[in-house]
Amino acid sequence: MMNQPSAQRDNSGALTIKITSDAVNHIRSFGKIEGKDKTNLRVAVKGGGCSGLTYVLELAKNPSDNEKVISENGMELYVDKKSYIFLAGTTLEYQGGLNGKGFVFHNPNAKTTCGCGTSFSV
Amino acid sequence: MNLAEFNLNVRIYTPSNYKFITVKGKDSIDLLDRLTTNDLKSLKSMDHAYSLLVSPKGRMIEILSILNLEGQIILGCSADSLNKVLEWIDFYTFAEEVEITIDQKDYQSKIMIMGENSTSFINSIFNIDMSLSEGKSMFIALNKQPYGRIKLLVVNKNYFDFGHYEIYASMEDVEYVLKLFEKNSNNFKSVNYINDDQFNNYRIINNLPGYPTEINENYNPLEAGLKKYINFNKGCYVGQEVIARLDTYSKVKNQLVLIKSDIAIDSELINEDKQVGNITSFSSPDFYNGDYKLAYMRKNFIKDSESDFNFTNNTGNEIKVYI
Repeated sequence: MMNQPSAQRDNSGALTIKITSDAVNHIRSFGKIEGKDKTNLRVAVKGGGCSGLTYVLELAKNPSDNEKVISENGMELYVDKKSYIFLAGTTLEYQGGLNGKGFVFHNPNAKTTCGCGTSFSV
Repeated sequence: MNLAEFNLNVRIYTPSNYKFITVKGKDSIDLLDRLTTNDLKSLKSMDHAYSLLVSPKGRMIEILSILNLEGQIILGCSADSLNKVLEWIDFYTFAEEVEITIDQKDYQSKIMIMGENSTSFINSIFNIDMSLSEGKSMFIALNKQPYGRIKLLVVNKNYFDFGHYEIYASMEDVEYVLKLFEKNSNNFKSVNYINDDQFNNYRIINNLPGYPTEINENYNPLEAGLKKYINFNKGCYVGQEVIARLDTYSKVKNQLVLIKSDIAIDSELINEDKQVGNITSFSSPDFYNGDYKLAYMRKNFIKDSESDFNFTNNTGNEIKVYI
């Protein structure tokens, strides 16, 4: 059973990808560690992982061609069109602390997830 | 029937129903490794491996023959599964640099050479020392009169544990090689050219699963006896979690076995009012009267039998199960 995100869900029905402010802060801090003061985030899906589809997160400065740009909490998210089909409606949050899992995807398209939560099937 | 003796003979088969897919691009191996059961990242140039496409539930989609040639991957699969395999790969391809083609000319057909004596047969025909170890391939250049030189790709595939080579080439070159075989195999005793039905009998008697009768989404690779094509150390691939769990906790429900029955029986195998298995392939009537069949049988019925046993079907017929 997936945990409910601590961030408020958007119930407007708009199909977008959301990122919580806490997740944005952590991405910024990871960016600083890598010497990138102003960084954005590429969010994608790739084939593989136990359940078939795996989440991909990557620090990025600019979008690539054909990537959708979503601005959320002061950060730009870059998503390719095929990944967007599987990610629309997803909220990305950060679960810190000793029991936290780090970045967590709450993806309404995911029917099942694997034990470690890094892959999903639709 | 003496199986060891039966498998001595050289059998030559050109499948009418087989396709090659070429995968190019820097992410080819990485993508296929993430989608299939075997460790393809360790596949060196000119190496061959079998690897299975399985669903997230661990059920079989198809077994792929995968050859890593310099700069391209040659995938082989049944013509019947081609569209499904292409759709499967396409579904899981996102930003990877991968180009897939099915209309290349170099490898359109193949000749399978099977049997204990297949190595000495190839050596004698091509006048070379074919010392290819399992999963390796090499090119052979031939003078094809009057057209000049042709290049054949020979692969030691070993799907049949007792010896199994394949030659990949264009359609016309395959025909040329078959003629060459016929012309030069007179000195070699016990060479049989087999058709699709005879090949089917051959794999049945050797308890080898085929697509789509045994390799399909009703069963997993552990049930089909294809464990050797699963790498349990490679990390995640589609279906990995389910397959690892089935293996670790011994949760495999069925086992593919060769069975023998003297008379025609239904595909459902019933013993004491309980279904204990399903027949999936029947040998043809002209092969030992069609007595041999492949069946998925319940593991809890077979238990831990280490040797062949008989049981009586609901119709009162005795069926022999080969373990």
